[in-house]
Amino acid sequence: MGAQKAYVASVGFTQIGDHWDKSLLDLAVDASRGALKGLGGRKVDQVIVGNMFSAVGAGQEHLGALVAGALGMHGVPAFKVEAACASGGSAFNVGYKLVKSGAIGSALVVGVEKMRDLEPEEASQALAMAESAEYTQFVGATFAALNGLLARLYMEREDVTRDELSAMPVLDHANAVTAAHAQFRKAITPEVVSRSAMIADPLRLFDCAPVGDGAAAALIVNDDALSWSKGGRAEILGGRVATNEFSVYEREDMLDFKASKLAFKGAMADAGLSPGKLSLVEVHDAFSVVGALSLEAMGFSKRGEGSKDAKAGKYSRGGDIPINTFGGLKARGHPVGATGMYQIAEAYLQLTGQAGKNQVEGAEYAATQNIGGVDSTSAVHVFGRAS
Amino acid sequence: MPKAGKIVTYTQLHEPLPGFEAQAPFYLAVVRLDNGAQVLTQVVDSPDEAVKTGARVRATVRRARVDGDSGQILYGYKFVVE
Repeated sequence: MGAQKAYVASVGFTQIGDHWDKSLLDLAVDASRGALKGLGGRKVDQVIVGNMFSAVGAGQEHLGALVAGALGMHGVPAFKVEAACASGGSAFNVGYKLVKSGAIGSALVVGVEKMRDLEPEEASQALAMAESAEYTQFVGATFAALNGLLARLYMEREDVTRDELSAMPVLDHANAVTAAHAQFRKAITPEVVSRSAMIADPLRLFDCAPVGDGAAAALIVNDDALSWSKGGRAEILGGRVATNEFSVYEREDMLDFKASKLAFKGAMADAGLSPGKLSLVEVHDAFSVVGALSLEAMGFSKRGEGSKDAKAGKYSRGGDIPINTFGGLKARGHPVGATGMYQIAEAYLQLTGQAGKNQVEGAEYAATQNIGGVDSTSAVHVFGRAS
Repeated sequence: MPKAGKIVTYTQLHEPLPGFEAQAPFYLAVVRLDNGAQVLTQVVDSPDEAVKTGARVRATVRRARVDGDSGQILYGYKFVVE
């Protein structure tokens, strides 16, 4: 078979937060069953699991066969894709390319992470594995520290104020109030951010996405498989993964998110769309500064203007281009290997008119941007409402 | 590699990784060495007001981490404001 059209035919996900009563596998199965609902146990052609650190968080590897087996899909090829916090988006990209190329007709992609079983410092250490063991972990740098370095550079070089930097977390929390699956459904003010505990100066607790458990899944199908899938569909119009110079501190220009720039440009070219056509974007704002730099890399804001534009309302519900429509990483939550799949599930809900109180009216096109490390990997996908 | 350079950006980390608790809070900085290479390093033995963007720093050998009570002592480079 030659190139096919590829669609997201259904999604499933768990609420994000503390799932003390569920294992990593329970979460992955819950989300997968949501995406496979109504299919009567039908097998897919491929199962792909996105996950960052199940070995550390749950003492579990070999997630592909584990999840496929628990779903009763014996015989189906299955494996895990890992790309740090971009594991979910990267796993989806593999499924998308397999279906798009005509190699297979359907794929179940599920992102899952169990983080809350770890003590906070253990979670920091697990996340730090996304950076160089020899040069970054060795000097004691956490991801908050790397992004603290970035935030200071951003504020000093681009003349960004504390309140401007706070605009992104404030926006996220406002959007999460009506999102049932969000970890934090509470609005905040800029003062809440600026008075929260110092983590890595100038970054404070409310600049940083929380630690949580969760799983999100999507069923990808071609035109043939559409006949047996259920629910609305959104076409996957483009999808790219790109990498940057690995460690942020080695880059000539630390404020330039080249991987996101490259992945976004490529995915939009695949889709044949100009950025102005997008109705919404799910942005990977693991830290307030990362959200701002991502918006600049993708060209929605000019250099140095990402936080300022957010403060001016450009990215809020009802603004020029709404972002993080269910609360983004800060408030919906960031169960790292699952995050990219939550973004995709949310884009799907928007394009199929199932977003409830978070619906962006008339949403036609959506993009998702999922980063691993400090833009060391970026996975971007573009979706369209299917006719 | 040159042993001196200047601070491009810095942070003070309050929530350290396991093994670094005794040092916290501590400064981390991106240092641009005099040949243009950039390294991530701790900045130590320097007054708070001296740790700032553009400050000249020099490399020194320090204890990086101790692996537990009876574990290995690991040494590495750290930088001091000149």
